[in-house]
Amino acid sequence: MPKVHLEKENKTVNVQAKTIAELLKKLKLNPTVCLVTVNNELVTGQYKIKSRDKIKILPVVSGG
Amino acid sequence: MRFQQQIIFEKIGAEGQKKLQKSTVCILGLGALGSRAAELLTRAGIGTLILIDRDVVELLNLQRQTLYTEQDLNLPKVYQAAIHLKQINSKIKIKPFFKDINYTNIESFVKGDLVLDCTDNLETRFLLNEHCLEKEIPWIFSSVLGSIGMLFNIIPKKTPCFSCIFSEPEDILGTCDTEGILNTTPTLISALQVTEAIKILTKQPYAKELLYYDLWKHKLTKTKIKKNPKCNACKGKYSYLNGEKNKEVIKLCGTNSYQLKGYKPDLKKTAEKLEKIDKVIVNDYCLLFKELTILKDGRVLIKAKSEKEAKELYSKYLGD
Repeated sequence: MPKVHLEKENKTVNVQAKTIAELLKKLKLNPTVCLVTVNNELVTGQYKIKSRDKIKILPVVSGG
Repeated sequence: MRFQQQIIFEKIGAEGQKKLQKSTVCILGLGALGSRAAELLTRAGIGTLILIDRDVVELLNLQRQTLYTEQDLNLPKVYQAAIHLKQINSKIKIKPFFKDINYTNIESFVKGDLVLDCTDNLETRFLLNEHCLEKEIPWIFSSVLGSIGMLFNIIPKKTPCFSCIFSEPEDILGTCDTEGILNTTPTLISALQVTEAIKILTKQPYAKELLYYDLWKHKLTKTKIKKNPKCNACKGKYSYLNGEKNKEVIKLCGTNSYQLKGYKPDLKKTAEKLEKIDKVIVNDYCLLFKELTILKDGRVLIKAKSEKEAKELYSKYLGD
């Protein structure tokens, strides 16, 4: 089961999902307000998750 | 000599310093990020600064907007910033514009060798992205919230663009009102942004990754970004620049405020009308009344809990 690190909350969770879109849906996260990285590279919702992928979720920050 | 120690620094040298002196940098947004970046660039010997901002200085800005003092309250940030920056370096050229940038005027004001994005909302950034792509102006995205900051260098034709990374938000984003902000966050992110600016202006290698820094955890996350083949902006389809996405009401970050566009008011006559209801403060640029800051150019900043409440307050005191 892929491990997903939530950067803002600083916690790691296990989520069973085939794609990033499915993973975000299970975490109840809107894909437009977060960025998902796999092995430190930005990916889109269509990305198919592999067993050894290191997944991180970063919040979109817009203040100035 | 003022810049001696910067010239001794091997990455800049006399040639680099000359390039900085000949450069024009446009700073869009003079809040926590922009005012700090403006100060650092002024001290670094940038030749010309174009400063653009739509707000006046408020008391709650002073927690983190280090260029301003209590003497600046209720006055436009760009003009007060220009005064302070000139006191730091009297030789710098400063072009301050107390303006709300939108698709109708961005071409007239956002110019230069480099633009620093120090705005407080994604909508303006999407517009800036399209403008800079069209005019081929490098720009540096920066943003902050709580103890988190983000930064990315966008060089047209060389790097991915802002729209390759971000989408229009379909859910509520955290704001300084809801999640707060540590005053060291914009200070650090401005320092990173100005460092990248100096690299770009002196034609040296710059950071290619999206930088995400959490000051509280002392954690830097670098993310590789590729061009998004589905990105409309990269294909020259500019929906913000052509006005398709223009909004009449904009939520401002950090002050629980909304901006509405109205008619250009006669501030004295408006003051006479509103004085019958409650206390009014008027200066050359704006009128302050209850939750409303009425600006000379027709914009009204309203402190409200929702867009609906902002519109109601506008109607209540200024009519439809």
